[in-house]
Amino acid sequence: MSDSVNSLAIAGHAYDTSHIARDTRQGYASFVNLLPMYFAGKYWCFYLSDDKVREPRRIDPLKESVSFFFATPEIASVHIGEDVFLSSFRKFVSSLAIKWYDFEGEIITNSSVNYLPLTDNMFSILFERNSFAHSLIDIEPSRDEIINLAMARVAEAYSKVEDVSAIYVYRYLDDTNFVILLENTKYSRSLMDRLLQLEYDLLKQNPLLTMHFFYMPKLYEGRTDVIHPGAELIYDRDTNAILSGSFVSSTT
Amino acid sequence: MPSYQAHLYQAQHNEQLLSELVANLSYKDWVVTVAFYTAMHYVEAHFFNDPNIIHSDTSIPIDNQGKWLHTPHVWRMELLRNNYPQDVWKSFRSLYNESRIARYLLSQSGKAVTTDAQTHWTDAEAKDFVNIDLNTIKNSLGFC
Repeated sequence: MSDSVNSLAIAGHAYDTSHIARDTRQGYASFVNLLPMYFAGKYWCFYLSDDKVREPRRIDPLKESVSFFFATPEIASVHIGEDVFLSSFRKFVSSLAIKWYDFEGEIITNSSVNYLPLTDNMFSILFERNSFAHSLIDIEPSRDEIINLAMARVAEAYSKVEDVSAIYVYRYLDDTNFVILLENTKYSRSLMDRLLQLEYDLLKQNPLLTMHFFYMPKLYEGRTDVIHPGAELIYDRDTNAILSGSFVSSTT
Repeated sequence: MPSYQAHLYQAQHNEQLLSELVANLSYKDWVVTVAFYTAMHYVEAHFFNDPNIIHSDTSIPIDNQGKWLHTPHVWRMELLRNNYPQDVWKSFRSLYNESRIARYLLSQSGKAVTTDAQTHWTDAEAKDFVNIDLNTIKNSLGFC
């Protein structure tokens, strides 16, 4: 069974278990913390707090993890509203259901990025709140998993800036290069200040990668004029989607 | 590898040209480009006196075959971010980004872009690259 199909199967279990969790605050906290990481990284999670990166951990299998979290008293100290959790969780399950029927169990690649727009609240919580899902089994993440997580963070952060129209990523040497396409045609110092502050924060959040950003105003007629031929589109405001696997040639 | 004095000389040489470019602002693309390369030489001059860096090119990590893992520009910004105040990094990043845009304003892949440097940056914005960004870097690095 592929990782993706396996993830979907486990999603069903998670959904069932959510009925049990609904009556307990610690249950909400558990799911909010656990599920995004589980599906985002195919069992991987990353834990960030106060600029210190803790070792990445593997959560597997989910059943044991859920049981573990439900039984952990410290979870109760996480205060996440019921409405936030349920709203996010419904969107999350919906997104998985759509994929399940569309692909009929076929391998779904890069699911970590594709369902991001439907789980915005969950990811915000994942990135901004403490998680207790890190204390399980130590396994080194792969380079691709680190990059995928960074891409998700970059897309999440810059999609909130209205002037950002699209984000592309390409690799050169060991550098991960992001091209942020902007809507504005004229320079704006205030916008650049905001973008550079986001960049600074993202660089601190992702110390295992060397990332570079280029902010390009709308000075071109077609994206192919300014985007590296091998660059991958990871965010597009026109479709309001955070994507992966779509290349520039199909987006101009 | 250029010495401290060589970098400092080139920075000051560039800055003299920059003052002429700013005087009439007929070439704003070159204002931002020269401002960036002036800043770069000031930064490299400062790196030279840091025994842990000395020069960006020579401090770039290499792989098993001895090949660079990062481009010099990207690595230089990593060094700045990790070893200098945030405002220095931010000003340098801003100049680097705008100097790259200046190239696109001329042409890209033989195609003209939809605007030019004279309209993309106002006179005041062009001057700010020197008066704010370059001066922030110079002040912080002790070159004023």
